[in-house]
Amino acid sequence: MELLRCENITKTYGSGAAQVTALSHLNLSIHKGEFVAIVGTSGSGKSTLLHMLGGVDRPTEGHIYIEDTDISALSEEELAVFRRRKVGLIYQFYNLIPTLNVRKNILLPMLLDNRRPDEARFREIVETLGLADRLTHLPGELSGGQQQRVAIARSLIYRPALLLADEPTGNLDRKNSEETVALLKLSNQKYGQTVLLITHDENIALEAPRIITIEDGKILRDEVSGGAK
Amino acid sequence: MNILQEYTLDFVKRNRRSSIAIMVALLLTVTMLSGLSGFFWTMYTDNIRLELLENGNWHGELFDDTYGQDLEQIENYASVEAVMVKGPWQVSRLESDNPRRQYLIMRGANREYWESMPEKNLIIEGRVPSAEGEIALSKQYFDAYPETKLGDVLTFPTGERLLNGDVRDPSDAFSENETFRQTGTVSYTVVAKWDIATSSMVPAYTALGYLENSAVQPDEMITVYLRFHNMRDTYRELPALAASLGWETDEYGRYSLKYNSPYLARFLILPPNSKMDIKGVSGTAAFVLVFAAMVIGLFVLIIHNAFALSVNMRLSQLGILASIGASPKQIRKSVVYEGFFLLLIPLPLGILCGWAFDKLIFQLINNMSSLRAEEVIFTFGLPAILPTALLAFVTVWFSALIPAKRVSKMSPVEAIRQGGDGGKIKRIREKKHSLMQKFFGITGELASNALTARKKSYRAATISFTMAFLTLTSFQVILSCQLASEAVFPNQKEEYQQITFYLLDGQPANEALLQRMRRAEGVQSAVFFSETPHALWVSAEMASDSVEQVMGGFQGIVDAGKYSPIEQNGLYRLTVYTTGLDGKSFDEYCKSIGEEPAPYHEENGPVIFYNRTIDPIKYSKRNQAYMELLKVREGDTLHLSTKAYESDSDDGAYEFDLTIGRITDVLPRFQSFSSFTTCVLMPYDRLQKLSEHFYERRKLNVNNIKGIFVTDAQRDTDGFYDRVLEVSSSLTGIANEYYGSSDFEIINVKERHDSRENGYVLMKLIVNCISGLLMVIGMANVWSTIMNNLAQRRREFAMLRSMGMPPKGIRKMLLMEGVFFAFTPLLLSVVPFAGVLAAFLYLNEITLWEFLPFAPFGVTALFIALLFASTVGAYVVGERNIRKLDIVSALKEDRI
Repeated sequence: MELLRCENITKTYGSGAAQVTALSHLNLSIHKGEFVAIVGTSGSGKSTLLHMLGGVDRPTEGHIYIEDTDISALSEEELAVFRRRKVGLIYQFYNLIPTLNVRKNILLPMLLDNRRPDEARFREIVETLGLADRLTHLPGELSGGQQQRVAIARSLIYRPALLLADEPTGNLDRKNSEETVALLKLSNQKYGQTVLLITHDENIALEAPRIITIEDGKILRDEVSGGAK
Repeated sequence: MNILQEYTLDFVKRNRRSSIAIMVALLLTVTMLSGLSGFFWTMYTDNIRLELLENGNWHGELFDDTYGQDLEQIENYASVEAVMVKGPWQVSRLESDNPRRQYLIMRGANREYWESMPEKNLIIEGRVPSAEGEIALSKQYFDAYPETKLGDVLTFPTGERLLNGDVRDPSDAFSENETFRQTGTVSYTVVAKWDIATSSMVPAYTALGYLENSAVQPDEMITVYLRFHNMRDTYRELPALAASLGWETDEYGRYSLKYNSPYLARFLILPPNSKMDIKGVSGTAAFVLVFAAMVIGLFVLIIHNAFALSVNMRLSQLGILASIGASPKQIRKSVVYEGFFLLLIPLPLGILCGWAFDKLIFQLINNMSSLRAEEVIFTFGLPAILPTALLAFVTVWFSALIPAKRVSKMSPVEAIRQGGDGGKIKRIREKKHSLMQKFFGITGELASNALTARKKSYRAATISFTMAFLTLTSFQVILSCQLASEAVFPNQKEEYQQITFYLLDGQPANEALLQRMRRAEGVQSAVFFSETPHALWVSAEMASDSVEQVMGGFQGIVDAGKYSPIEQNGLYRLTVYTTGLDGKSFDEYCKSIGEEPAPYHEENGPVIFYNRTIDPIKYSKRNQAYMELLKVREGDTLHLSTKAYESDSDDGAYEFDLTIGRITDVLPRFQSFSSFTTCVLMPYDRLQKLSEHFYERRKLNVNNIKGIFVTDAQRDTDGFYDRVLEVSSSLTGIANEYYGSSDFEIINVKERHDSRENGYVLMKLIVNCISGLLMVIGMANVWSTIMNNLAQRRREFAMLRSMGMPPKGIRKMLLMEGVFFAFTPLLLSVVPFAGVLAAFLYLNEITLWEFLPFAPFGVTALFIALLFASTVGAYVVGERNIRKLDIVSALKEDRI
């Protein structure tokens, strides 16, 4: 079942002679439950694509459908709700709120919704991610790997349909990188979440069954790899 | 507390520097708002208090003839809360040698009257009368009969004043031929000494006694003041009451009623269909709203920048929140919450500071006793606190909303990226600062670039400094221009009219007194005169050629709508004063214009006609332009009438002819007239003789002479005013020997000078306080803006140092930045300041050269020094912090 569809996505910055095209008439379809790696060189447009899909940026042209909703046509308020409930975003630099403790950082999407958290689900996630004894710590008191796990936990709390990870291992050592990817795969396998992972690391990319290569804002290749399951 | 509020509060606590900077700005804002609220509230309540003190607590008066038989109906009228009654006058004859004070006139007032009206405030000793027969007696009686004391019982024959067989009103003016008819005897118990002084024009001492309503006879005429349960019903209920009493309306359909309009207006209770007042009220309301909006606008301008800096500091965090799903509304709320959290401490503190500020101001005002007779009573309370709190919240809300809206419109990615950028720096096109580089090298160019790149964040600080500078200097210029104008165009009165004497008793002046005053020590010259207005009706043809040319004739004057002449039945009414100078002064005046005085002393002799008027188009302080008024020649007759004003019509009109003996364009020095008003001059004795035909009020007018004195005080010396005061006191002493204190008045230029000086001092005080507060706001703003900006540029400075710029170079760059920054408000102020200066030089008709000796160099220099000290000082302190930077960690650091 198709979860995500991009039609003719274009993103340009600037105007006139200084105009830069980050994405050019890109078309893409992703099915539910897929684990997809997006690779490309620096400046190829992969992060831009991820930001469009995550609703944190808008395309200049084209449409993005997630669960049959055209998110490019949503208002700012609707898009915010979409980001809260339908998408989990994981960044290279974790992007945690430094003044909130681990528990609140993880529960942030629910708290923004003024919803009471499902404590059972919360407990499951933090235990799975090995954060149970760090709940009262601030991000500044955690290692890089732990911070990334908090970011992953936050992205999972609403059990969103789509997980988008932008270079999640970019700031981690090998061990933590492996752990992070393993967690994403677990998420994909255990909860059936669709995962899009941007990476420039070939080894990590090969972990994904499907690899999309982007260059100059266009899809160069879209292939199924023999990636580990 | 929801998560956003919790996050915001946490951020506020952790970012102390920016939070404190905002709190300081808010404290100053709230102080100013509180000070303004308290000031206006005090003036409002104090004006009401004074209104009650001076005029009493009443809403309306039944002004038509009201009789005792109506009293019960009035008292029982449903909407009436209180009825204040004064009874009829009672006249008693005194055993007195003083023909000018033969009587005691007394009327009773009921308990409500004594409690509500201002007369009770004038009791110097004793108490308010509370029983029939008790009186509060004028202090003049005590002066005349020093053996009188409180508690004395005085018994007099009571009766009627008669003139030619007709009963006179007890309060009529003295008449030589009047007699007294006794009808009974009355005894009064003196319970109070009353601070009332009346002119001996009415030949009686005055007393106010006690009246029981039940004692009022049905046919006795009373004066009735009323207070209604609901004062807002006054304009409806009073006419309804008059109708119920069976009164008749006048030709305009109105009852003869009076309203305490000034008091009612303070509560926005206005006469129905009063267009002017409605305009006034809505005008006042509009003014208040506009003023409040301007005050809020000013503070929003100053404060919003502080919030913008704070938002920039957590831009990436807000971007993260947005990326997780915080809606734009939630992002905006977070910024606004920050404002409200930061207001919690400054609000009560600022209200307290504003209270203290007002207390000080009013203490200073009250210390200047010559400004007001009554001290201002300072009131604060909820009516001052609530508007302050409301305006403070609105100010904070708007101030926070501006950056909040900006950040909520950014995409999350943009916010996260820019948050890592050290704050939103405008991507400027590379500006050529060739002048900077030429004179100050690369350091100067860097300094200039830094200011240009951050000009938005420096804008608020610049604006508040500029406004403070402009406010202070503009007001100083206005005051200095006035002082300069007074020096260039000295007040003529200080030369020719140092002391003025007014006789008020309506009787011919005592010659012996006038002679003694003329010869008093210190008096250099004295002129006694009287002037009384008359109407001169002229045809259009009588307009002089100048009047035709300049004004388009008399019709042009009337059409202008701002001069006294009117048109009726094709003729134009000019006001001509008949001026009677004392004999000696008249002769001297004639000598000065080369005229023989003798013919003018004859009973039917000619008069001197002043045939000049101000040229209103060309006239100015510097160019005192006049023109001829009428086409007349010597020997022509002027036909005058005593009916000078429409209000004279009830008193009858006397018409008379005066022959022009001499046309002059020189007036006695002390005289001046407004446009198209002039005078004829004659000896005073002739005027007095002429006035025998005038109706009584005009006759009394003629008798009330004025005296103008010039002393031997040396002008432009320190002792000038003191000498004038000395001579003035001496003249008062002489006058006291002949007249009661209420029968004359003496004023002198020192009083006016002192009042003016106090006015200047007060105005300077208020201006300096406001400017000082704006200056402090500006300094605080500048300090926090600079410190915040420098903190955000740590990475930039680390980069410069890593590339080899020595600490000295950084210092030089920052000092230059500080100096360039400090110059900005000065440069911005030049044009508006020049505009203000030019405007007030023009209005005061002085040149720049004449202004310079009075220019406020000292205050301006002090202000500029403070401006530079605060700006450069902030950079100096900031530079010290930068010097301690560890280059490597600064280059690495995440701004979060």
